[in-house]
This record gives sequence, C-alpha cells and structure tokens, in this order.
Amino acid sequence: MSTAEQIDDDTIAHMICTRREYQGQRFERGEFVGLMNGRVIGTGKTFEEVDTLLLNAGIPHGLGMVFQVEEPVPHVIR
Amino acid sequence: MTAVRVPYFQDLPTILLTIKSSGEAHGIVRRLLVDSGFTGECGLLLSHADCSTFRKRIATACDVSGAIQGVYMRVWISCSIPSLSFPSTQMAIAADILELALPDGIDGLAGLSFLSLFRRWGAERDPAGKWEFVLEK
Repeated sequence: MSTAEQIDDDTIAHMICTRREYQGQRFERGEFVGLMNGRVIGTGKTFEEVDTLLLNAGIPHGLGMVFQVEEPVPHVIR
Repeated sequence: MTAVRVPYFQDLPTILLTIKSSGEAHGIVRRLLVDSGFTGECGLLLSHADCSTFRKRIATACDVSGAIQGVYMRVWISCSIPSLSFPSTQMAIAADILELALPDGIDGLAGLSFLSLFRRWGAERDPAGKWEFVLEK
C-alpha cells in the first residue's frame, strides 16, 4: 500500500467517524469498519470480525485499515 | 485472580509485553514504561520499527499532545502477558522513541487505557522492600 493510499483511507475513516456516512452507507457508533484502498470491505461488532472479513477478501495481515466508529479522542502524554 | 509482578527497572515501573506477528506462536518481549499520564483511546506506544514489523492492521491516525506532539499513525498489534488474559489485539501509537528520551532498555509506553484492562494495577513493595509493578486480572 502506498503512502497516498494510507492517507486516503485515513481521511475516509475520519469522515466516517464524524459523519457516520460514506457513499450512501450508514455506520453505527461503536462498530468496526474495514477499509482498503478507499473501499469499505465490511463492518462488524469486533476487531476480530472485521479482521476475518479482510482476510476472506484476500487482504493479508499487515495491510488494510480497521477502525471503530467513534469521535476522535486526543491523546496526551504527560 | 492472577497477578504478574515486575521488579522496578532502573527505579522505574515497567511491564513486559509479548508482541507477536501473525501466525507466529512465539513473539518478542518488549519492556514498556508504565505511564498513567498517557491518556486517550490508545494504551500503548511503540517504535515505528515495532509497529511496522508487528502490525496486524493499520488503524486511524490520532492527535497527540504533551511530551510528543502531532498526528501519529496507529496500528493494531497482537500482544500478551504470559499468565494474564486480556484482549490480545490492541492499538498502539507508532512514534519515534528517541523523542521521548526513554532510558536504555525501555521500548515504549503503557498508558492508562492499557492499565484499565486489568482489575488492579500499581506499585507495591516485595518482602525485601524493593518496588515492583503489579498487574492483576
């Protein structure tokens, strides 16, 4: 995956987290979403569910994005 | 209830976390500094190299402020602490460990979100009076 594709997936993920919608598909708060090259591969209730969907779609570990639909929480390291 | 006790390392509270690559039975052990002042959704911070080597999936980037600042990549990793059970897939922030000026031998941070996975955590003295960090499940 190129850097540009990663950035694109990250942008889409943040869009989904804030708008709860992408290309006509609605997303529930708390659900996990699998993305690859700008395409939603699937959703599930756990990381493991979505990880399996990605594997079944031929996307091996190390590739593909998984995120949970929620408001971004800033991290602080004191 | 099961507890793991880690003697202080260079007078600092640390934990030993085993990180695994996909399909590997055994992983590599990393020593992480316990930092309850590290807050946010993500409870682990590891080097770019470890996150690249052991990432299971990419996660969304996140904003970090404080000792390091900016937008940081996050990854999902498989990890464990022998004898303690907890959700084995965790998110970790990928960062330049040198920026944090951690002592030699420390490979990253374990923050409040990670500690909150356990029933009890904290510093205690062993029978000889030496400090150790305790995680109990």
